[in-house]
Amino acid sequence: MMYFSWIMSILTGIGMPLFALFISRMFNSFGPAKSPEDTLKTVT
Amino acid sequence: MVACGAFVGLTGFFYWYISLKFADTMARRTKENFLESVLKQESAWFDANNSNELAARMTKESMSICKAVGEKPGLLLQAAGMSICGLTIGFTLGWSLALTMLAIVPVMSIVGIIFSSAGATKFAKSLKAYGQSAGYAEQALSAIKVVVAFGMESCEVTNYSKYLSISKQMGRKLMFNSALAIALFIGCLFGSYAYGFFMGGLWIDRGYYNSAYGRVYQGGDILGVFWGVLFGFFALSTSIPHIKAITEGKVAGKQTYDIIERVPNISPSSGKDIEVKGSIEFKDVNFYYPTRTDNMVLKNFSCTF
Repeated sequence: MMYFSWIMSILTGIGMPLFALFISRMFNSFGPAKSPEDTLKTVT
Repeated sequence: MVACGAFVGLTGFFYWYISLKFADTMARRTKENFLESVLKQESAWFDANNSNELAARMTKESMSICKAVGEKPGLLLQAAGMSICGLTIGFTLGWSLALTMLAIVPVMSIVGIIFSSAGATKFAKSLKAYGQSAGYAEQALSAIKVVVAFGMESCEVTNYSKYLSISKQMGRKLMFNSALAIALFIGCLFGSYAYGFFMGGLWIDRGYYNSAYGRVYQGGDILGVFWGVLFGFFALSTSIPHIKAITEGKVAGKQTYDIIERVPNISPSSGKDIEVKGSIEFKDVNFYYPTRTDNMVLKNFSCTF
């Protein structure tokens, strides 16, 4: 059981930074960054 | 992301539940075995070991063992997994920005060391002063009739207050140092956020090439690299106290199991029913306590029961 808990703790440790990867993917899915001038051109 | 969150929550629950349950069982068994072993020891052993300290030792050492076998190894493995995974993600998503982010590591390390060691010396001195003043109070209260008979009340109060004022001074310095360390730590944390996002903004503005994706850096890359490196570094920096706790647990375990495994020189229960007949004769017996070998208690003692 102790070894099982250690495996669980490693998985917890690996799981947390994966959020960074998913957040990165999510933001990139919005497309490349635009400058305020470009955004204004799109709106107007 | 939701699935990842649920997965981390589940693994975290299993880890904490099993490790705490295991540590609790271990601490209970250690205490039982310790007490059983202490009660079996011969009288001479209590001359060399202060019996008043044994109860406190049992609690303190079993707590150290409990931590060392329970939550701490798991936390250390968790930190290892987190740092490897975090740094890998950070460097995979954009190595050039990740390298730039590493510039905050020395500053954060220094602040982390200051934060963890702030006031440790002052705290120890404060505890010592408290102990000394408590010692005076205990001494005075246990012999209160003598103190009153000689009119030494004010003298005892002065002695008691003398160490309390040292403790008060140390307490003030401790609070000041702790406040300063917390302020430094929070300032450094938010400073690292500012630095990370400033550099990320610069990378996007200058249109630096990200070889990981074969295009210029985007906002998502910056976030991924920043949080990956930060997770990795924080996990590394938090693993030092876990190593310390495991080492302390090992030392406590050695001391405790030395007592648990000690075979008494005179066993109170041999496990056999012995029928005693006749008389007991002492002839030319010499005896001294093991801790006071120069003070002979019995010399050529002879007697028959």
